[in-house]
Amino acid sequence: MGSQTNLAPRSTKTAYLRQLGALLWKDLLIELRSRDAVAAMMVFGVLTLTVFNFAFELRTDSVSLVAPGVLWVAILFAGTLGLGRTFSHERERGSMEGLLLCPADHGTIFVAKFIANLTFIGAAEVVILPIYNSFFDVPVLRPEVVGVIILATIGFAAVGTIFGAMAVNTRAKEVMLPVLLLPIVTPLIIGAVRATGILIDGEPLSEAWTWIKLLIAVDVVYLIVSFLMFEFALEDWG
Amino acid sequence: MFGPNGSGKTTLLRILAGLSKATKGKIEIGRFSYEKHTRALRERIGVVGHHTYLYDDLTAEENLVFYARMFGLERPEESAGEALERVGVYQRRRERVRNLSRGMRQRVSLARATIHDPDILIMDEPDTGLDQDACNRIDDFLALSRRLRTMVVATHNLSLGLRLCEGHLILDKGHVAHQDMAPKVTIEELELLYQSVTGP
Repeated sequence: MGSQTNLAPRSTKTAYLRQLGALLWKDLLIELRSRDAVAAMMVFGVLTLTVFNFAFELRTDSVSLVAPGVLWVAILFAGTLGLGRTFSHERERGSMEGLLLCPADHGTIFVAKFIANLTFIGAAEVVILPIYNSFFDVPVLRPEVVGVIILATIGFAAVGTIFGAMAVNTRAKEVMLPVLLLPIVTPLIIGAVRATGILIDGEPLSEAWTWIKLLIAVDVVYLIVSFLMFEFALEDWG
Repeated sequence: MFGPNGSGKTTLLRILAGLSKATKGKIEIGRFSYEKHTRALRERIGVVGHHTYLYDDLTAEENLVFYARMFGLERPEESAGEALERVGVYQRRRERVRNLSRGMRQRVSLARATIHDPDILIMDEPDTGLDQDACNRIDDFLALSRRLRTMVVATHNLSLGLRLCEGHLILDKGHVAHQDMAPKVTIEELELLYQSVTGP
């Protein structure tokens, strides 16, 4: 090794976008073939809605009072299930260590995982929302409501990505992720439920604006903090 | 690097590879360190560990194309094909890794570790769990590889280590019990030395 003295980087600019593209391509292709995360999320989400549909049909006169909460319970629980699975395939064959051995910033890995998780949760929501609309007969497919759902999903995917990376290395990983994640996303849930409730009641967008601002602020905080802290979450993998 | 189980071979290799941090001391490779030159070192080091670092749901070729892109290679598909050709797995490149035998996976892992033409190849027991044919194939590949790069190999196979490497360490209970960077020993002498250093 004494002859290895010229170790200047071979390129002054690493192809971040190329690595990001490779990471995303890898995760999307694996999910397309294994259907681990998205299928589980879709099934769990639909199951949750079905249970609530029968429960509230029998007991509650005003479904609109509970409808926003039902939607977010379905999305959050289904999403938590999926987030847990997206890191589990990195444990097989030690794949995450393989990523850590590449000349890639940890931030690049985070962004790729975040976009993948956002895509998977979004795919599940594409199935959940029409079924929810049908069961509860509430106007959830309107652009402003979908916009709120997207905003909340962004924040959820951001913090879910970092906690997913942490939880998968613990012994009780199935329990640890919801235990860590759900308390942290409480501001997000509150904002999402309130904004969704106002909008599906037919109120104007301005009435929900306070809650939408909360969602935007929470998203920014979650994204920045998760991006910065992801490096520490990866220490458990090395 | 030789030593009984638990002597610290894997720990030392992981520290060399930058996967673990030393609790004391520091690692310098050609006067460069992981703290200041992480990217440069990563571009120049290949690692074959206990895990293959491959994705079961991707084919051998897809795995290598992925890593080629992560290492910034200009023609990832071509590089992947060449790497698989070198380890003799090119014919099976379109099969998913989960369907490959242990020996084939290890060869694909070797291809993955060398696809970016590293200056240093770190290997942790590369022939463990393989049958004789797979071992011979890997030995042949490593014999060629040693002419192109520096190799650091942890192994229980004294014969393999003696054949591949110019120098050796014997670890025992986390310490270097013996080292010789230019040994002229036979395999029998090495076996006696190993037993005397590591004890019964």
